[in-house]
Amino acid sequence: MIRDVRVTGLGVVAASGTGVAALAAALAGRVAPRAPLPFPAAGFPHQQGGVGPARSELLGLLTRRKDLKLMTPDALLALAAGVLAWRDAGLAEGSLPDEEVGLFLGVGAEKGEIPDLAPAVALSTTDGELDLELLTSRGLDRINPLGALKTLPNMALAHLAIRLQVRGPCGTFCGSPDAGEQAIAEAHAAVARGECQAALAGGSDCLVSMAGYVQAWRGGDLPATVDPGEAAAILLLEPAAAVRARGGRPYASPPVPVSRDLLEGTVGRCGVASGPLALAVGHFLAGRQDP
Amino acid sequence: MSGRVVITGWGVASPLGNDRATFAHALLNGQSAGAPIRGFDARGFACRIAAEVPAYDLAASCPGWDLTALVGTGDRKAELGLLAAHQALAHAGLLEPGTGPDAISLGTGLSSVLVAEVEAELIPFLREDGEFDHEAFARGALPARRFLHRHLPGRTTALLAQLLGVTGPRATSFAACAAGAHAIALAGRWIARGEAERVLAGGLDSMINPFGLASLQLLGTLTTRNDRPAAASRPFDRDRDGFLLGEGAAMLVVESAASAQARGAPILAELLGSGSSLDAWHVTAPHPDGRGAVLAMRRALADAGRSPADVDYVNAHGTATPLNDPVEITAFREVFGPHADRCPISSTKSMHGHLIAAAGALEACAVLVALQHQWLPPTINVAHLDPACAADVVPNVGRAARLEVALSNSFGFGGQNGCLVFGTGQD
Amino acid sequence: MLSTQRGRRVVVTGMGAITPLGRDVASLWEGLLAGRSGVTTLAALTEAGFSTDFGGLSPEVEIDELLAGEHRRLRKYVGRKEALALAAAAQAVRQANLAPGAGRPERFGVTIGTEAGRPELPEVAAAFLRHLDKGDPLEDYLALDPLSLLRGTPNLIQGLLAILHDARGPGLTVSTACTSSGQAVGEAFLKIRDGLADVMLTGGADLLVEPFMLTGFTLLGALSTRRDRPQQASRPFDKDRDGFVLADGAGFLVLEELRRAEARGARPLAEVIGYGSSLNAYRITDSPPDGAGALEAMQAALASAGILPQDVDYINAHGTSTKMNDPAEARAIHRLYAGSPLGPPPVSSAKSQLGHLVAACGSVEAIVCARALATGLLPPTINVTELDPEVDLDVLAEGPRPGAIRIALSNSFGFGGSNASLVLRRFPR
Repeated sequence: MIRDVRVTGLGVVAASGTGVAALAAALAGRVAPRAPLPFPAAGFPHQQGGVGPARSELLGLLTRRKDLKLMTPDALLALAAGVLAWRDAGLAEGSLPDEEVGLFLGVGAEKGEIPDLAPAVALSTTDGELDLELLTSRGLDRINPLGALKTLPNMALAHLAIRLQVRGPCGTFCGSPDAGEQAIAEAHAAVARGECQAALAGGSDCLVSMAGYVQAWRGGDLPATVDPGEAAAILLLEPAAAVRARGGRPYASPPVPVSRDLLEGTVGRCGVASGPLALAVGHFLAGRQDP
Repeated sequence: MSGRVVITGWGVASPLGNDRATFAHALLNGQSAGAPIRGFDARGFACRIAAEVPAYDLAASCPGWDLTALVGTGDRKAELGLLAAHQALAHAGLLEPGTGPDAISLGTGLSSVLVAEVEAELIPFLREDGEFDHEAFARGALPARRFLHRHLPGRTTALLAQLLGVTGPRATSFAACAAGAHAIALAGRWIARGEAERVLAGGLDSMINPFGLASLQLLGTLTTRNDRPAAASRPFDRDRDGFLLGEGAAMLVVESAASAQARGAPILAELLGSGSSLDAWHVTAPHPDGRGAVLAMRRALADAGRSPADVDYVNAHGTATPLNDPVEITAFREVFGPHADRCPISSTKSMHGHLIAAAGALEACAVLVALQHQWLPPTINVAHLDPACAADVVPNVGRAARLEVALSNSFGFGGQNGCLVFGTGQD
Repeated sequence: MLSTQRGRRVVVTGMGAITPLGRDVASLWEGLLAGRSGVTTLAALTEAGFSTDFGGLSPEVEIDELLAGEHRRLRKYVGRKEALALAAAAQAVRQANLAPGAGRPERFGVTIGTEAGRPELPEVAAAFLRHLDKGDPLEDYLALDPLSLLRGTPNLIQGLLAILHDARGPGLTVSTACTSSGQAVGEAFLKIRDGLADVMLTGGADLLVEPFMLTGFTLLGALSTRRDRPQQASRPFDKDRDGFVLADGAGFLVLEELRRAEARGARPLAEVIGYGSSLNAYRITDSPPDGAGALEAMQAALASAGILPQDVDYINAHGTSTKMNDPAEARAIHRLYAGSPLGPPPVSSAKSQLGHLVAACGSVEAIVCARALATGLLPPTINVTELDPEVDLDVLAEGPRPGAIRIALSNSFGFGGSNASLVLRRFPR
């Protein structure tokens, strides 16, 4: 049996700030908040971008501040957007059985920072070549053991699952521009086919870290007229019948998609997060309907 | 799943061999691929052994494919993926003109930083004081397009889609050590939902390079039994000390039964169901009771419409890390109840090592071999079964058994789990 | 999109302006962003006893500098209005780096928006008084300057510019009051897009701060009467607006076919992608309160550009500050955006700072849009202390705003019931 699925919660973090309402206001006002790129960007064609809210503003959405050290920007943004979506749906934390909430995310390119290896490599170089003997005897001590772990693209999913205590079906999609939409499609199917009672799904990406920026720039995804950005957008999907039963008010489906140009002009190019971002703000603008 | 999903071809580039027959023979006979690392000089590393893929000739193995996009990229996992994909498609009869898969679902792992990349993109931009000179990099790095797609996890999916002219669904899953299982599960779902008919699905990974090895060594997950490489991978054994790093790729052709029947393709096995779950516990350690593992197995069985008592064999995740194995057995017992004492559960990682993102896909192939030969692959190197892992782990030597339904577990860093249920496909 | 399907894209390669905010485009743009008003009290008008004694007066132009060598003989045709036009046009041609004699003159045209010249009142008055004294009209009228008739013809500026810049292609002078130069720019765009010309010098000039026009508009009741604070007199969209403020000035653009511009290495400043015009068919002095004619002009412009309303990121309103115009224009904008998820984009009126340049406002405001697109900054509407609830638009009252702006729409609506809308796009996209 295929069930009707509704969007009941929206979570957005982008250069417009925290929350989908802030994004809608920025789009309506064509406000394009820009900040200097948060890494030494001299020499690169872009010097500014759609930088998301200060990390300190997102701390309230974390359970443990020390988790920050284990998170790439993508993971932190996804975590914040996921918590916001959950709250937006009017659900108390833990109000759905943890095993019945799925989690599907689209993420962008890996975010391993080559410069992070500089201290280790500087100690391990002979005549411009990497010397493995020096690397193992001296260099390795200078590498953060959790560095590789942190950059695993599935860590966003891990952090969000831990934060919200959800254990349903899951998946991380990456490496294609529509990974965020793929995640939402899988979440939709999981809810529609009764594999879980609800699912969080969306995308997260950061093109304003050096790794994300360099990847996008070299890949030709950042023409001079488009600023890099960072964002996460997550939707909470529930079966229509369940929403009715709890007296919830789902969002209506957007009649007209929000222009991608406008979205990117406002918050910058946000990689795989752009698609979910457009979906989220589209639902917000369409408004909540009676169940 | 509504509408049956079957397997019509598979192929491997694995530490146990680069063709189906060699792989199956080694697997059924309990051979280890563990050996000193040959790919680079690993003398200084704490772990100097691994399970490497034997030498191969990519161009000769993939006739008719334009591989120029790979030249000079140092992208070993993509090469391994192509090797396995070509075999699987040939096996399924999908290499002829006008035929081919209509979708691709791959699971992949983290792109390790390559030495060549460090020498091209880091060392030239180191200042005298050892700091990275961002500005010099910004001005000098663009022409170095060699590593353009290095950190795009979807590059092999895109390359295969281009080579095969696939225009249907294409996805790259990332779930650390569960990626291969997730990718095959996704293929099954696409077919069950009618979104695809013939999916090339599998996993690929290779971390046997200095920075890949270094990152795992720093995490403390590798065996350091350098003196006895063939005995280094010891799942469920009292003296296990970490996993043996493997590499490779495994690809399956996952197809709707209707499509296979229509084109007269032999059905090798059936994908009965799949399940995934989240531990929501810790980013590096599994939940102590295996909560996520339990959920994944239960979901897969429910999806397959089978009860635990129907299962004849479990291919364990069984990494041989101190933490994983007892947790997995605990979860296995939780799900299987009394049947756990009758159901064999072995870890083929004892032979081929841990292929990380490709593990789930290679172990799916191990299950296909077991179902085909009606033979249980062993867990080798079990000298003293850890009491915390008490189960029939098929210790050291394989044996014949009647196998109709088999289950394969994959548990990933970050607490993401995948479980696949296969049947023989014979009614 | 329609405009690109037709193959010929039209870009702006030069701009020039002389406005109450300064003698070039840079001072215009800086003044707008700083929220400065170009309106001042004019002592001569106070002394003459006008009830409205303020306006937006553009800087003086040195006519002799505009007419070098053989062109000095044109001096006799050049009054203040012509001088403003020639000076602004010269800036645009200089920025476009159109070398004299380069290119084919027959593919270089001129379209102008302006109004018929007005006789110099004191001169006419003196003759009239003499006539009353002596009863012999002919003798004294014939003593007037024989060229005064020519100076009054609306197409004089077009002719002067053709001579000065050796433009021999299509020409047109539009005289549709406040819509004049908006239409002139639009027609120039069409000439290039449709293949009738490769380069067009286009714009408008007008001279309103003078007794004749002050008298006329005062009698019509269209002008603000806030003598106490002239800089706050032009207050489009504000609840307490009471009419517009007359100004003078000129704005000119060089439009050019994109490939030609690129071939000669010119730097496009913006692209013109759409133009629409309409007639109200309602009343001569009023526009329909439901915004009908304005709506149709905007719709026609968007259709010609092949874009949807939601693609527009900024509307430079006609926004005159009259009781009637502003809510009617707002209504037209709201009707245009009925059904668009985000509603109307930000809207502002440069007339809050410049006053009303009438026949020159359309081209000057096209320049404002081009600068907004190039800089990513939306210029404000000043003097909005309380937004008219009937307007209900984001009128950028709080100041300039860094914005996501790629496409701008510029409106001009005229006495007599004509409307024009231009669509400009950032270049490169």
